[in-house]
Amino acid sequence: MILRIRKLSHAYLFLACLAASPALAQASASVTAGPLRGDAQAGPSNQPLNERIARGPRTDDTRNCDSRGVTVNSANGSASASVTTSPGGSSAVAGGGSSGSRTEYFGCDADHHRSEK
Amino acid sequence: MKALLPLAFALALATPALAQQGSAAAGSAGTAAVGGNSASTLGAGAVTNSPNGDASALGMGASAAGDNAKTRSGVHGNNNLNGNTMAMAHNGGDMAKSHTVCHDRSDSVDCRTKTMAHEPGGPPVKSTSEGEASIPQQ
Repeated sequence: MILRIRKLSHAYLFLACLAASPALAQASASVTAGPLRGDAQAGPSNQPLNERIARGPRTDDTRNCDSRGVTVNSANGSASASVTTSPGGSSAVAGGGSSGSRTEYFGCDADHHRSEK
Repeated sequence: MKALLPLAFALALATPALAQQGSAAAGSAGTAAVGGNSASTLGAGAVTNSPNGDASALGMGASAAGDNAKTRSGVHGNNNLNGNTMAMAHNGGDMAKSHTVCHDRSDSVDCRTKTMAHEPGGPPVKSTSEGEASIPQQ
């Protein structure tokens, strides 16, 4: 009888652990406003890191300050955000992330802002 | 009874530790335009909690076009990220303005954008958009 109860408890323990382990779903958000586009993604993904987020053209052209972009990748790649602007007018972008993340600026800000926490 | 104790102990240990696992992403954006002036801002953030570690990322952007156009963007913080961005353009009495604020916390992301367009002699036209997402409680 005691043996049966122990086996039963092990079965419950296994089921309880299965139930307590949540499926880590992916979450994403995309927003646009005029010449701006922003994307953010979190969670596991099968896509390669450099394909997961929207990137602006990497011109690194400091002569053209019309177009800017910023990309943030967390240390383990599970969270990312990017913002890009189309040419025209005045623009500013900024990005940041948790410890270990990498923030990369494109276009006019490329020389001034490259950070790795 | 003895056999049930390990089960209760394991559940007590496992449940709180796994309660906040998941991902959330949100953003907001807005544009105001009047008399040849336009101002746009947006923010997009993501946060994830997993056994491999917690991570967050936040991006902010602003764009303005017009005679006097100004833009500014910033993100501050490590674990709790705060983003702020502003765009404004005006000529004479016409003014277009947009402002976005985002908070990227350990288990949620929320962004709010407010816009305003104003012509002389008329009331300001205002709008607000919000985006919010939380990691679901398990």
